[in-house]
Amino acid sequence: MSRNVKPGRKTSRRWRKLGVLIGLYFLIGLFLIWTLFPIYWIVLTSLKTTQQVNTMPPLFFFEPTLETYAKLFSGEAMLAFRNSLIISSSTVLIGLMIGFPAAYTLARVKFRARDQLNFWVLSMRMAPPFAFLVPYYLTFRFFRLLDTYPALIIVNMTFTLPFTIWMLESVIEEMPVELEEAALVDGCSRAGVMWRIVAPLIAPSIAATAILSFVFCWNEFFFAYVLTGNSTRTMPVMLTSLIGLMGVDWVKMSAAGTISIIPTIILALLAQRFLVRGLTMGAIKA
Amino acid sequence: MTTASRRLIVYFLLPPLLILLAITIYPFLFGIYNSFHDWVLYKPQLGRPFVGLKQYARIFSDSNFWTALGHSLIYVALSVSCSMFLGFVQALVLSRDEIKGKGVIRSVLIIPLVVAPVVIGFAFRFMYNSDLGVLPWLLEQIGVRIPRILGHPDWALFAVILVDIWNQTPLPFLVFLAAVQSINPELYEVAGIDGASYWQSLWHITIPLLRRAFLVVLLIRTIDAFKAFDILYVMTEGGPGRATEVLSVFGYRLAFVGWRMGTASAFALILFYIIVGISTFYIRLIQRGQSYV
Repeated sequence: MSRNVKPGRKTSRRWRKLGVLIGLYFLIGLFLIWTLFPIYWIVLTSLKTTQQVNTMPPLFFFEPTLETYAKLFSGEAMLAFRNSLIISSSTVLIGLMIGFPAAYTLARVKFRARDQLNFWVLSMRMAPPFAFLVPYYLTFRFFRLLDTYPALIIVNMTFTLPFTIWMLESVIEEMPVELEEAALVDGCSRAGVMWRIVAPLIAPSIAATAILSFVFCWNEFFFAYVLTGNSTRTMPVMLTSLIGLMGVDWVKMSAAGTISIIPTIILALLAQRFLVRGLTMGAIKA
Repeated sequence: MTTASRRLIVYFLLPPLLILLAITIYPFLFGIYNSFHDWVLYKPQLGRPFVGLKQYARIFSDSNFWTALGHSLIYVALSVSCSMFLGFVQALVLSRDEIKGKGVIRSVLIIPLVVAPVVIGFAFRFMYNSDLGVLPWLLEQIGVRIPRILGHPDWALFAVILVDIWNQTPLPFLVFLAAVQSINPELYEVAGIDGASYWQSLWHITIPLLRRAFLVVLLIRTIDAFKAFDILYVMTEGGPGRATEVLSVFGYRLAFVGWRMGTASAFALILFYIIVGISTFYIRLIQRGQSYV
C-alpha cells in the first residue's frame, strides 16, 4: 500500500479496509467455532437425558436436566474426583518444596555442571512416558505399591519436578540480586533469604507454576491408567470405565468429562500469562 | 567458587537433585537392564534369563513395529504441520491492530490445550459416532455421506490426528503470537513507505524473524506428537485391527497386553533414542540460529 495515494482512490481504499476487517472477523469466527464446538457439545450432551441423546437428528434445544450430575456425584465420580485432587495437589506441593531450593541455587550459583543439569532437565521432556512406566510398574508391583497414592505421586514427579525447577529458575534469574545481598549483609541466612525474600517476591510465578503442574497432573492419563486401581483411579481413568459391553454411556461420559475439564480451564486462564514459558520448557533457552 | 556458594550447593541443591536423579535415572538403568533380559510376567517359572540383544532383534524383525513407526511418522508429520500452520494463521490474525477484544479471543483459543486429552478423545468419539454423532449428521445436511470414520482402516488415523490438531494448536498459536508481537513495528512502517504490500512484509519481515520460534515449536510439537497416547487410545485403542497403532500404543500392548517386560523395555529405549535423535537435530538448528537472530 503506497502512502501517496491519489485523492480519487481514497474511497476504494476505505472499502478495501472494510473488506479486510470483515475477512478477519470471519476467520476469528471460524477459529472460535472450531475451538468451542466440541466443548459446547459435551456440555450440551451432559444436560440431556439418555433418551434425548438417542434421537436423530441431534437435539440442539431441549429442557436441560442436571440429573446425570447428581447421579455421578453420589457415585463413582466423587471418589475419582477426590483421588485426582489428592494426587495432583500432593504432587504439586512436594514438587514445590523440592523444586524451589534447587531452582534458587541453579539461578544464583555459577558452577561448571550447571549447563549439564539444565540439559538434563530439558531431556526429561524428551523421554517418552513409556520409558518410565515399565520400570516403575515392575518396581511398584514388587513393593506392592500398585493402586496406592505414593506410586502415582512419585511417577508424576518425573515430569512436574523438572518443570517446576525450569520455571522457577528462569524467573529467579530475571530478579536483581541486590536485595538478597543486602539481606545477607544484614545477617540473614541463605535459607531466610530464599523463603522470606525471594519466595514472596516471585509468589505470582510460584502460583502459576503450581497451577500448571496441577493441570498436567490432573489431565495425566497414561501413568494413572496403568498404576491405579479401583480405589485410587483418577478422573481420566474413571472415564474409560464408562465404556461398557453395550457401548458407551454418552450422557454420563459427557457429564464426567465436563466435571473434569472445568477446573483446569478456570485454573489455566488464571495462569495464562505463564503458559508460553511453561510449555516451551527448556527449548527457548536451549 | 566461594565457600558460601559451595555450602549453598550442598544444602539446597544436592538433596532435591538427588531426588530428581533418583526418580529419573533409576528407571532408566532398570530399563536398560531389563532390555537385555527376557521377562514375561505371566510365566514366572522361566525366571529372567539374560538374552543379550535378542529383545532388540525381536522388535526390529517385528513387522508390527515398522507399521507402528509408519503410523507415528504420519501422525507426527500431519499433526505438527497442520497445528503449526493453523496456529500461525491464528497468531497473524490476532496480532492485527484493528481487531477488538483480542484478550478474550486469545483466552478462548488456548482452552483446548488444557482440556484433558482423554475427555476430548471421548468427546470426538461421540461426535464422530455414525448413529448418534453430530458430525456425520452435519455432513449429511450438506450432502456428504461418510462411512463409520473410526471403524474404517483408511480413515481412522486421520480422524484421530484431527483431534490431536484441535488439542495442540494453542501451543504454536501462543508462541507465534508472542514472537509476532515482539517484532519492532517500525520495520513494517518502513516497509510500507517503501511500497511493500502486506504479503511482501509477511514474507520478508515476519517469517524470517520467526525462524527461531518456528524451530522451537517444531521441536516441542514433534516430541509431544511422538509421545501421543491418550487421545488415540480412548478413541480407537489402536484399532480397527492395527490401523491406528502408533509407537506408544505398540509399546503399551507389548507391556500390558503381552506382559513382555524385557521386550517392552528394549522398545522404550528405542523410542527414547528416536525422540532424542530428532530433538538433538532441531536443537542444533536452534543454537546455530542464535548467533544472528
